[in-house]
Amino acid sequence: MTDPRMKPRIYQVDFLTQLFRDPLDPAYAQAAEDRAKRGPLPAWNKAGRRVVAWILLVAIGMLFAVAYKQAVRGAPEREKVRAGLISRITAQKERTNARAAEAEELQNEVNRLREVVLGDPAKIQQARELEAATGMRRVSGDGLVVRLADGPEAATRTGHRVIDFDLQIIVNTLWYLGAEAISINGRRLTSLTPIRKGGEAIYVGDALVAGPYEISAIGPPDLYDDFSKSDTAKVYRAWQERPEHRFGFKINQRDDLLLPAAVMPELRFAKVPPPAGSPTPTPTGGGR
Amino acid sequence: MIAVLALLVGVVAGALLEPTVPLALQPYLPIAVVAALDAVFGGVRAKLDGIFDDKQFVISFISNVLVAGLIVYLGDQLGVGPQLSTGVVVVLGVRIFGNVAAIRRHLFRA
Repeated sequence: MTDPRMKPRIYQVDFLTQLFRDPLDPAYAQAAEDRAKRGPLPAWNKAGRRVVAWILLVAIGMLFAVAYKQAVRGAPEREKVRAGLISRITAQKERTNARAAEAEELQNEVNRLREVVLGDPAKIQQARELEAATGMRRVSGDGLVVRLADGPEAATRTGHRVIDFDLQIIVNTLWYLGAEAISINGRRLTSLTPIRKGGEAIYVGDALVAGPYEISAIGPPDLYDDFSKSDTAKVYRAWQERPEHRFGFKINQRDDLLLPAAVMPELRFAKVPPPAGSPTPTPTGGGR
Repeated sequence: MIAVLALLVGVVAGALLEPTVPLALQPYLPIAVVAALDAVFGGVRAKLDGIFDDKQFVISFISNVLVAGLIVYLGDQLGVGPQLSTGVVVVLGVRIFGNVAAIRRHLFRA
């Protein structure tokens, strides 16, 4: 039993304990033992092994460099994806805006043609006023602009984020005080326009709006004073200083506001009833 | 001394030549780096202990990389790739720490 390798090998059961106690590969010790027994290797053999080890070290160095490059290269790749997404978002936004402008133009065209068909100036005026009141027509007049902005830490603190409820309560206060036309960030409100939450964002009708929110309202001359003194304005003014909200809140009196027409909502369930005393409706049931 | 030079030459060569790693091998690159670090620190420690052996160094590196790669590959096939990668990194990491501690004791006697 001179050669330790001839002994029946005793396997270390507790591998991890062994690993923690002596992390060096036991083969090194064994090789040293062998060498001590066998005596030094021939010089050419030794030199050859040394050269192989150097080549391996060169390879390891290359491995480090390549792995580092790989890790660094990953970062611009992510940046590229992000930039691509941003450019797609802007492109889509531009398209949406173009479509909205087109829709408005067509709406104007429809209005003009209808007035041509209608003929009677009194009826035209009546139709115009009804449309202005319902939000289907552009209106101008004096009023105010309420500016509501997220708190400075909106990205991390939910309390700093303006939610749909904030806009609803301001809009409702304005309606209550006699406002005749209201728009949020250029989106005119009708009696059918919901202000609701979609995920983290706020939708006015079908349109996504982002802060800061500008609520423009046209109404009676004392609308500004009344709104400034309202409980709603008091609450939001107080919240400007409250650390849990810190909303930006500002009310400006503004003359000659111009509010756009709302996009015509599609009525799917409500139908216009046949006018009283008219003959029975046609079988298609359109009512008109 | 020459060993350190060889390592530096490799780093410079890798930085200048920019060899491309085949896509199939890229997931194994980090594991290979950890295995290489283990071999290098093991070699340095053996050198300081006076029992360094060139053949042993070459074999330990190659077998480390192959076994680590095989474990991770198997893990990927079985759907536990990340867990097994963690296992490999923990075992090699423990060895690296232990060897670095031994090197430190040799160099600073502390």
